[in-house]
Amino acid sequence: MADLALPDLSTPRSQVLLAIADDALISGHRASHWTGVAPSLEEDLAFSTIAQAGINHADLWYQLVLDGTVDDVSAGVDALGLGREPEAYRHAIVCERPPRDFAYTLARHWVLDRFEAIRLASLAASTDPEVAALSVKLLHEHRYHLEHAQLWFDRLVRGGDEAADRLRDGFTQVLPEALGLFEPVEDEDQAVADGLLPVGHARLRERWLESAAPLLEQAGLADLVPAVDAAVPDEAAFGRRGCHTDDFVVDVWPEMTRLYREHPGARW
Amino acid sequence: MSATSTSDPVREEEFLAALDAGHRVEPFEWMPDTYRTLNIKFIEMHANSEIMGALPEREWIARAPTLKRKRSLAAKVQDEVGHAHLIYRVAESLGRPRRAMYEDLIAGTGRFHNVFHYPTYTWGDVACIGFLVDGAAIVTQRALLDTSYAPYARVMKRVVAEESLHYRHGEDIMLALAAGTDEQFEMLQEAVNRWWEPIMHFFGTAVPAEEDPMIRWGVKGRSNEASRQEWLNTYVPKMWDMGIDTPDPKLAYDPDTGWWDYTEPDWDRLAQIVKGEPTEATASRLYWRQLLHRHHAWVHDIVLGPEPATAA
Amino acid sequence: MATFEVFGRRKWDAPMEHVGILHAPDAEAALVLARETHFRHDEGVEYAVCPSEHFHTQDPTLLERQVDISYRLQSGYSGFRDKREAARQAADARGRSDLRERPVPRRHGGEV
Ligand SMILES: [Fe+2]
Ligand SMILES: [Fe+2]
Repeated sequence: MADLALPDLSTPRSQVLLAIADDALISGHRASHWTGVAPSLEEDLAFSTIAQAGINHADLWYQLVLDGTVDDVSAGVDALGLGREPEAYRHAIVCERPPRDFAYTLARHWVLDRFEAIRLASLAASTDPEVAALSVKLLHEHRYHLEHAQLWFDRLVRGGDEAADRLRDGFTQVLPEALGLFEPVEDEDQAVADGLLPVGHARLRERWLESAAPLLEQAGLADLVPAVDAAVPDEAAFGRRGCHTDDFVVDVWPEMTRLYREHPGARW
Repeated sequence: MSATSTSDPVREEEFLAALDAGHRVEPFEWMPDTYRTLNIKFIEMHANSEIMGALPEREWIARAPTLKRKRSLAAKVQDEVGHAHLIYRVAESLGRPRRAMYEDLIAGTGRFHNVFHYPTYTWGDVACIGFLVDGAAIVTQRALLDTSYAPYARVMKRVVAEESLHYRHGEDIMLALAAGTDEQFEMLQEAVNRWWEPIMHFFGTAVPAEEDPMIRWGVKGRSNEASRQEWLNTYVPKMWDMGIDTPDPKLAYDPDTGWWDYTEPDWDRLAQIVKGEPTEATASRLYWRQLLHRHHAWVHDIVLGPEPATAA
Repeated sequence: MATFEVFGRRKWDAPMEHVGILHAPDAEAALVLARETHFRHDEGVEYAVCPSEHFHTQDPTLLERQVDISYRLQSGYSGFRDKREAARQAADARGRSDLRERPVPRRHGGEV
């Protein structure tokens, strides 16, 4: 898109907002897998809304990245959402993993949405008024996501041996990789010092652990709670710096962006 | 179901006379076996079609060319699943459990409309499914607002209301391609050429209304040909207006008769599609659906609650 | 004492609506009594009761919207007059305006 002058994406502000937007887009994209094939029709409808929210919220965050620099906001949003090279995406690697089975999907949904709610709550105090205002709005919408995630968490935990085992398998895969969510973006210190990001990702990790650990313990999953100082496993590290696995580079990205890339400048 | 006999010729005559007089049947009323069976067959096929219709469109949520299209397509497919949810319930009220219908569908024994047996190749197919195929469904569903089984008619009111959103969603995608680049225009024209015959098939053969049991028993209110003509009335002028041609050289509207003339589609091919071996697209969609279903047997009782010991 | 929620349909094709509550010893009695508590002025064509203890209500704030979801509504689509005109102009540029000259019905019956 030669005629689209995108803002500087390397600023701490852009990097922080891209991390938030890309988390939403890629997890929403993966969640949309269940539309039409979820384990019940009722759940199909519920989960589709969660997928749509991811896509919709990403759009709203990309608009803040654009910060009024382009006239055609939709084209700018698509240039960000669908027009970047894979290494320019800043989502955590756990977001790009395939849905695997419903237990893994629910474990990830539970982890991601608790994290997102905590991040949004802290962003409500951002010194950037647009960021603060959008965070408050989205936090309201996340309430449904949290209730939905907790609903199935509770039911799977007491849903018999097989369900509990599968949920345990899901968390075994998700929890170590989830630590990648808390890696800082480039020059994050600057964004924290400016008050754009009132709480850095590293401190968000503490808050997330504080809120998630008791629930995991009550569910008999205490052994899976990551240690306070646990390192991000290599295979899930540096997503926030643009390192991605084949799950994104070979699976998600080509399919998600092909049509957009094949027709530069087209309107749809 | 009541203990009274369901095959009583005198009551059956009275029942048919009541239908002719415009009576709406409620689930708790006596009804002849034929009425129940025909309704279940028709309604189950309708609900199955909503699900099978969601599958080809859902493949494009991942590939949509803009974020706006991505979320609106996801919302549109969600509505189709919502329609299945509402319509299966109607068949359930006639005594057929939802799980049984669903399992038959994915096992490949449930029937659904011909148009959902085809593969999709381009975003042009998304435009055609969203506007022309959904349009055909809108035409037939509007005719069901008068269906005699009251719970079905009530559900159709809501479905038809949602379809007017789908109509706009579809026309919007179509217009964007028609007004777009030459490649986009070609993509659309080729897709229209592909979907033409399946849509002509969709309405069925021109059985006279008097000979259609679905009409005699008050399930459908309108003949196949009347529905096909209504679709042609609405959608062909729309396509011509945007510069999209229709692949049937014989297609023409006669202002004197108010009727469209067209080339009879190949009905053997329709029979082959709906009754023969599943198409490759259907086989792979069902295979994969089955795999997911089997793999998730452990969760069905959790998300739905345990199945009742005997069907209610 | 038990309370029962009463639902009724105004017309055969209307949804079941909540119309009120009554006190009764059991469902059978509630069905008999509801006819005169809620439908004595011909307010409906069908009614049903359900024990209040089985009637669960959701916190209404869960339905409040702060994010625009017009993409799920008809209001999310507009400007069709201009979009149709743009498609016509594109058709003209492609030399396909003749399609528009073919006879068509005056009014499109099925337009929604
Ligand atoms: Fe539908
Ligand atoms: Fe539809």
